[in-house]
Amino acid sequence: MITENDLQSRVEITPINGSEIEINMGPHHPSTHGVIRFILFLDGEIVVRAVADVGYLHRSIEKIAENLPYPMFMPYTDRVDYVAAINCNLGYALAVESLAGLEVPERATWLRMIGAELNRINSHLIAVGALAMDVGATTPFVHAIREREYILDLLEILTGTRMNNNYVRFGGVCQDVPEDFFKKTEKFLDHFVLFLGEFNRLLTTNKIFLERLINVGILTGDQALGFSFSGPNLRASGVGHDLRRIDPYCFYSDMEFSVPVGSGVKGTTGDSFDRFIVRIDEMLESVKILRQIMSKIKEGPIQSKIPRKIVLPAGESYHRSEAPRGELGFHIVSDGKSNMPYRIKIRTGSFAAMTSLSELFKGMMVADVVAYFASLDVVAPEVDR
Amino acid sequence: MNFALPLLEKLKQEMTSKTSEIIQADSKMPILKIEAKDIREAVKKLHDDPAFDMKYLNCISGLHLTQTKEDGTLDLLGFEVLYVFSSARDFSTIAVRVDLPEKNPAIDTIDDLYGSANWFEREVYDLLGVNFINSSDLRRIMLPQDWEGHPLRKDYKEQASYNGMPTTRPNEMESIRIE
Repeated sequence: MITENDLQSRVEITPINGSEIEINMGPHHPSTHGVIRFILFLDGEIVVRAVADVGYLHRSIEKIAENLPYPMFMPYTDRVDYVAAINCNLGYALAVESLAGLEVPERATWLRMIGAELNRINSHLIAVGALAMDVGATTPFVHAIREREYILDLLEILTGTRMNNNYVRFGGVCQDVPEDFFKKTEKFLDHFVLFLGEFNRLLTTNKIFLERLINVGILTGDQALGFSFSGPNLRASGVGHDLRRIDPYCFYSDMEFSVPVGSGVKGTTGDSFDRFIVRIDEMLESVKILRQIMSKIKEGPIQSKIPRKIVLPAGESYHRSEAPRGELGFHIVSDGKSNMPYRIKIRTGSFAAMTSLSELFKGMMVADVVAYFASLDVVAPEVDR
Repeated sequence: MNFALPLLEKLKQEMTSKTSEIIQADSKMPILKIEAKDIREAVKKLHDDPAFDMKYLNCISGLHLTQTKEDGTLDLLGFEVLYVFSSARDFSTIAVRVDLPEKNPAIDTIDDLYGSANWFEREVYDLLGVNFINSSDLRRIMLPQDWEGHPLRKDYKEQASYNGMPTTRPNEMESIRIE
């Protein structure tokens, strides 16, 4: 017979002193978005220390680049971040064009910006949808994927493919758009603004969703800078750093848009909820930019004349642009003789975000590990390249 | 790009050793080339001095310096490590370059100053074999820990087998290819 005393002793939680439990989270785990592995050392449900292990998707893209002429490397940039392929295309094209001194026609620049902003919305939809799913809300993810499908259709009209678009060419883009593309995009944007309000209401008034994110994984501005955060992750910590503003490329300097910055609307500045809400706000800014582009775009050529063989002048340069996951930097070194790069190093936002994990996981609950990691919007191929 | 040449000149003047030089001064990206022994001094100044306030490390990149000789063989000339820093205040950017010898390339770590430096350094170590002295955790990051060689070296030869598995296999269709 079980006495009350026995029951008492059974529910009593005794801390495990001195003996940590080592747990492998990943590489195949639903919340690690691709193949990333954490080794968590747990005391009960608290993480004592953690080691992040990456490299499962290392495809040595940087080595491949050294053996290909500049234009042939363009499709590989799609695969750096498959969720935001055009942004990666654009970053690479801008880097090479600025070194080679190639001109880009006006219409081509506008089309590139349309592609990049559509892709940014696409990428942020995946980010917030997957974040919702990781903290237990399955329905918003389905909604996000449904809306993304319209964007993929638009991208198919624009580029010919739904993903891995390979859209940008040196000195232009690969194809012009049919006239009804702008009408369709307009219609999508009208619909999308309404949808986003609905989507946002569904999540930001959901008590469970809020409790999972508020005050979880707080990063101050200084910490975020120290971990080389960039893009929405850095802005969520209160640092208004947007390369489209401080280092403008294409025609972003003519665009009117605000840079959403985390302000701790529900909890503390730089918590996981801020990273969520900054992405929602950023999608609305992208809508604003798209509307401005479509009011300004005119007919014209989409490709300038470029040399058959592109040889960059000897030297090195680092060119950066604002991808959905933050600063996308291309360090390109040329020997001045070959039509292939001597070295290309790709700096990505996800890689920088990963550097914070071991530090931030300390003292977290296992469930918060999932929430914090999902709020960073890390894409595994971009970490490993 | 807003690479700041004046800041680079200021850093050059404030260094105790006078061997540093600014290269590519007229290009889009001026670089300060310093000696390996001065890296801690330079980075400390960039990080702590309010005149620079470079609290943001954009990236650490590296490459293998080689020259192709007339007979097609490679002259191995050592390694380059490139640091790109940004100011937390106005996001002006500067680049610092260090050249290392071909034999036992090593440089002091900066991972106590920047939280992200460790991972960037690990990548350079993994792919190029540059050693970072006093690093808190210098392990391979992309490749397995027991991998041989460093793939981004220009003279890299892939190992024939890994843990008993061949890394390449003969392509039977090679014989029908048109040259």
